[in-house]
Amino acid sequence: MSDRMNRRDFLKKTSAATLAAMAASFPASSFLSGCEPGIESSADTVILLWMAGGMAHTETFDPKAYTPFEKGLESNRVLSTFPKIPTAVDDLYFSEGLESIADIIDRGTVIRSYRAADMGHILHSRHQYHWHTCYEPPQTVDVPHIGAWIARERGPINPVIPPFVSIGQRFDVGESEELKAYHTAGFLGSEYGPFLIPDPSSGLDSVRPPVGMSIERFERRHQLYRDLVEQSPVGERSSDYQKESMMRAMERSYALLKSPDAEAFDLSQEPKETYQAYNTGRFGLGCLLAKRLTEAGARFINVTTEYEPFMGWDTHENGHTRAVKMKQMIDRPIAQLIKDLEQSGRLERTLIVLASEFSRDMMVEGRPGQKVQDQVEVPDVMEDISNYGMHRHFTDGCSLLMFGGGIKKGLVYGKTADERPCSTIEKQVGIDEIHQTIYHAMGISPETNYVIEGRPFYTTPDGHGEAIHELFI
Amino acid sequence: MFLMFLDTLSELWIWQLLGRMHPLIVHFPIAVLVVAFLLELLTVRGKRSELRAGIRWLVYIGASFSLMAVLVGLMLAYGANYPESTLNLHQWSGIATAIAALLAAWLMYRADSSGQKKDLNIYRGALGVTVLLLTFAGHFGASLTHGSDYITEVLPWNYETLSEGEFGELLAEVAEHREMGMVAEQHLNEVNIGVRRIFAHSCYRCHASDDMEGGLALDNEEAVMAGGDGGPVITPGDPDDSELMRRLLLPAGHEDAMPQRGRALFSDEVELIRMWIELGAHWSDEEVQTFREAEMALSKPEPPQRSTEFENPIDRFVDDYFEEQGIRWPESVDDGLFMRRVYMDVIGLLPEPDELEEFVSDTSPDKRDRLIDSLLNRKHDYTQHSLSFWNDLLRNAYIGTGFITGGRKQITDWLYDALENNKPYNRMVSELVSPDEKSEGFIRGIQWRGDVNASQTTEMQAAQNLSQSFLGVNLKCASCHNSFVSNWSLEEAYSLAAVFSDTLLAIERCDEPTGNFAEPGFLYSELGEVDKELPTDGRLNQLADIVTQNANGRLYRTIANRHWQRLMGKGLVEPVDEMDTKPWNQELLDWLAADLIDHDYDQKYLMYSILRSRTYQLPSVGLNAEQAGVPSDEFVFSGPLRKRLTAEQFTDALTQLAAPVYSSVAYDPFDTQIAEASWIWFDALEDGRNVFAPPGQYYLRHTFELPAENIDEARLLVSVDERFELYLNGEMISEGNDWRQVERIDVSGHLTTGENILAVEAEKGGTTAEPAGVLLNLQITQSDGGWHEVSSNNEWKIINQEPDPAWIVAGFDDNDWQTVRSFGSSLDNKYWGRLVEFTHEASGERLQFVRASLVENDDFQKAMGRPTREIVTTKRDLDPTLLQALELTNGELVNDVLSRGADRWIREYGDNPDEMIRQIYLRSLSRTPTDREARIAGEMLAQVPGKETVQDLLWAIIMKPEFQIIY
Repeated sequence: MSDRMNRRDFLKKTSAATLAAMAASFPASSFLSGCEPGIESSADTVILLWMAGGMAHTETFDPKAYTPFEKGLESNRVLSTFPKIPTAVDDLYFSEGLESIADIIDRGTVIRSYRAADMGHILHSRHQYHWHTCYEPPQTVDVPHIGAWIARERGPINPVIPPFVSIGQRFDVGESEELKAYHTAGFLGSEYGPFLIPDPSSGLDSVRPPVGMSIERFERRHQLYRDLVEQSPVGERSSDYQKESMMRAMERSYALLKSPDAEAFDLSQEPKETYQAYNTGRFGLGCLLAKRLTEAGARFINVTTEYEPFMGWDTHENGHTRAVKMKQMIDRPIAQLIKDLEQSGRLERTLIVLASEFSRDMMVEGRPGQKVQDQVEVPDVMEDISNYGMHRHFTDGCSLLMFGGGIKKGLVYGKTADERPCSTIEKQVGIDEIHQTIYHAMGISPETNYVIEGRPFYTTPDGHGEAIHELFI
Repeated sequence: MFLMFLDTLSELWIWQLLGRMHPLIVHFPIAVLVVAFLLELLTVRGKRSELRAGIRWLVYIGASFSLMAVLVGLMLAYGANYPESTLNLHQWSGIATAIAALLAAWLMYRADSSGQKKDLNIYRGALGVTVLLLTFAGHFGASLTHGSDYITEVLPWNYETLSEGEFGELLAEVAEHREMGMVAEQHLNEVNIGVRRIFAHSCYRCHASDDMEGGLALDNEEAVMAGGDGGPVITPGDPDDSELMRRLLLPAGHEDAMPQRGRALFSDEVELIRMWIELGAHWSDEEVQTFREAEMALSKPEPPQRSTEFENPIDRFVDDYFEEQGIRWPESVDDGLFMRRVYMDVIGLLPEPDELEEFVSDTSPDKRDRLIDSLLNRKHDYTQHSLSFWNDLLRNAYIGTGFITGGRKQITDWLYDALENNKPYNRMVSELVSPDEKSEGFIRGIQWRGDVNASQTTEMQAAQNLSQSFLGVNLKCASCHNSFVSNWSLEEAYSLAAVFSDTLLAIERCDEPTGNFAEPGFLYSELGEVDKELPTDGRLNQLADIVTQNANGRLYRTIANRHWQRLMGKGLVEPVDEMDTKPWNQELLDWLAADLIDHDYDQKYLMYSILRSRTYQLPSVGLNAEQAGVPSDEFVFSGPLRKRLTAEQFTDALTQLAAPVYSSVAYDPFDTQIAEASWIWFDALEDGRNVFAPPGQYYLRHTFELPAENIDEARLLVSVDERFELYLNGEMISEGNDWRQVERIDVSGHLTTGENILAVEAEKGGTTAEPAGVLLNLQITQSDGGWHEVSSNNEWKIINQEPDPAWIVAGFDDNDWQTVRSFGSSLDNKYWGRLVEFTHEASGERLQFVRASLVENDDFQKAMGRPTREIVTTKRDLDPTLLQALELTNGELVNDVLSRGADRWIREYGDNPDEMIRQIYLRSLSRTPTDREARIAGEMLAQVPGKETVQDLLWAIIMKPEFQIIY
């Protein structure tokens, strides 16, 4: 449907005056671009650092009063299990364990007022689906990931680097079908879908000739293919788009697999010190790969701490101990990524977003006033350190970070209460606003839509939400 | 003061006349200035100085006329009704043009006087700027005259848009009758219908029953007469006293002006509304059809008989159609092409080379009909091929969202049986709409955990899916609000959903409760009513009867069209889910649907009719993307379209040509008895939670007792992910590196009385933790009738460090070893599926090979276009993409299959490369290679003989469009 009435009808309706001017040999593009002036972009690439499983804001970027563990401690007394640390911005404090990010937060903005959707009984993958697509599942059509929209609207920078790359998620863990349901270009077509790299250190394998095949053999094989296609007596008379696009895709794939640019995927090319600076495991190396792919020309790069039920940030027990480990995993590489991009001058045009599907709290499941089934037993009084931590899912106040791409430096946006429930109390934002902000930075109009089954489908539901203009320089 | 003066002035006719001359005057400076600029370009670098004098005049004239255009334009703008923002842009860019033109003229004058080169260039720059500004002014002017929505108005939801002057004739006719003093009822009706169409297109977005801005709805008589929050909007008989007219006549930009969104009404539209009110605002009983609706009733047309050449009714319809379109019948395709096409279309497999040779050499005239018949009768092959289409259509999947919390149910068993036994279509539909527990998955839908959007409750899903799959009706929009793209209303969508609901269904509009409750009913009430007093079962029963009755022509047209589309590449109606679109041949569609009913709803008979036709056997047509996408009302049929192999067809062809792609099934129609065992591996923990063990070397052992040695038979099955060596009592009895290859070993000679020891040294490669496991089953029969079974289970021990060499024999102390962790059973496994070769059964009806339609969706299938089946899919996205080409070029799966395939071809034809090439071509493309093809392939094999080259040849063949397309 979407193709059905574009050019032909458009030309028919173009006015005589315009045609007269066109005939006078003006560049046609000035007439075809429509009346809406486009938004000016402030970023060319987005890196989403995904804190999978629900990162507690009170344990990370929005610390509250610290209560150290002791036997017999009342659970509801605990707001944060870490002391505060100062940051590069005056009067801005983070949680202990995030010293490196604290040092560079003067290059970015902290949003402390994100409120996740309320969708009844918590299912992580459902909230993740919502965060990444802006639509609550299920939907009547296959909804695209934000990376697919961006890949489609902005296109590849470098023809051999896939515009949308997703790093770090394996799909044989729990809730895998739900994870797959949003790692998709949906109705935009698989061309804009994610290029999946579960393990950043073997990403190169996906963009090189098959493992064990020499380059000579690879070239010979492709030449044989070309020769045999050339000689085929079938279908040679008429052209058809499937055959042609099939052959075009083959040539593109051949070019990519042979291209020196594909070395962007090769982490072993990094100097040893750089590699070590990032290497806190797969997430850290994912950040390093994101840096290389940004330089090589990717459009949207997702690096996840990886979602696996009850693992990572999904702390149902031992929350404090595990938060220590998670911070060790993310702190250094994220700070390094910001510094490296700044040094290479790319931070200006690269928007980095750190986010999670929701936050966590020790007592409140979901949000205050909503009846949501508790998924974890929390004792009134703690007997063991394993009880000490944020073990319930909290949707009412979450933190995000944004760096680069035209975002203000050193800004703190929004506020949560200092007492339980630590809910958003100022400048609340939802997923619609976050998406529109990212699209805005990428110069993608809020009116952007795709016509499917005869109706327009917008990047956010019915085009709702406005970019948070205050965040931009 | 000044404004008042303008107001008065703008009433004068001469003012308006001058204003309306603006478009005339405006074209003059455009042409003059543009020509001046072009001529100026010719004089650059001091050439053609003879042009200078002419240019001079052109610039002066252009400048003065642009000034005039501005003045006259301002007059026009003031009196008329234009969108303000565009008007402003036009006005200011126009004024800027005039100023720039005057400036350029002055600069030219200056340059002429001074004779300085620098001044000349400044003037040229100014002229360039003038022309650029002119461009903008011209563009915005064009937007004004043709409406600021001249881009958006071509969008599909405005497709049936009203055009200017559409009501001119009606206005004139009714005016004439009024003069004669007699306006007939029919005229009143026509005027009202016209007015309502105008309302529908220009007003409903804000003023309809489900969204009443200002308290006003214009979509029914009562509401129109009642008016809005501010009181009545019309005074029948007196347009001048009607608020509606006042609003329509206000200048654009006025805060009360209507419509506020979209284009202003055309003058004939305003006139029609005025006339309607004057005539008393009569309301007709007729329904307003904003969008086309297909007819419901179905009668069987007589096939035309232009000549005696064609017997098949399909061909007779097409013959007539070709005659009309001036198309000549091409020759039918040859036997090879036909055979490959019909095999792929009916059973989804490549013909075997010997079948091909036999068929080509057969000289009987009815051989094609017999072939079609025999293929349709290969029940399992037919079913396993058709399954994919039906799974897409009925959203039936082996894995997917919802299963995790029990919110979804498969219907595979029911579906396989229905296809295998060619269940009549009316019964199929009936059993899906009013299901038993085997078929209830279809209407049960997908339930995610938590609260869902009101338009995605399972009842609403059932309504949407029933409408889309069986009736070609899209209810998705209407399940949230009255549709903008069809005639369906929110109430109608809810009404159908209510049939499926056990409780009273509250109607929500865009997720907000409306306060109303839905009455159960079917979309087309003329087909029957649903009794709301009945329990859900009873209502579903009733609904099934209503839907499947012969009077529901839509049901049978929809399925006939789907079969046509599957076989011919494009439906008689397209898009296939929008059955209200006009088909390219209504009679043919009606005949097919009626013929299906006449033959007891037998879908195979329907396919048989199409396949036998010469129409199906015409050469395929290759289209460009634009042609392939047009709806049926613009499509011209000239033969079947080329179809790309689906993911499943491609995969199965790969199996046939090279080696089995899959070895585990998600669904086994033969229910092969799988030996029971557990997949076992190392129990790794992180933070007290089970995780996959890191890659590396692991050692497993198990001790078991055998009471006596009188062994008749001892058969062992083993499969390991990934590499392994298996020892029995210290002796290595098997090894492997591919879990899909089940090793079967007779171990009767290795067993002893008393303690026996099984030991597996296993390794998982790679860099990340992925599932790994050992699966083993040993069955021992003794001559005294004793029977023992040993299998991998949680009694086994494991360690991740290399043990003492004695670990493989009895007597070794493994007390400090860990107990293994089980990763699920061999019967149904999350990671490895149901490995069909893991069976001791030697005989009985078995799967020939694991067909792609029977396996879970994976990355490879997905890359090749298999949908996830989260929503109903009736047409797959088969456009080649880069990701897909990458998967085919360096993906592990393809390379592994081809490598195994190369082994097979070398085994069979290793000593005769020419024959190998010939057989590969026959097998894959259903033809022999041409001499040149044989030479190219032959030279390659001769140059670099060996397995790798055979593998590369296979790769080159499967990448050929000829392999991936059904010609």
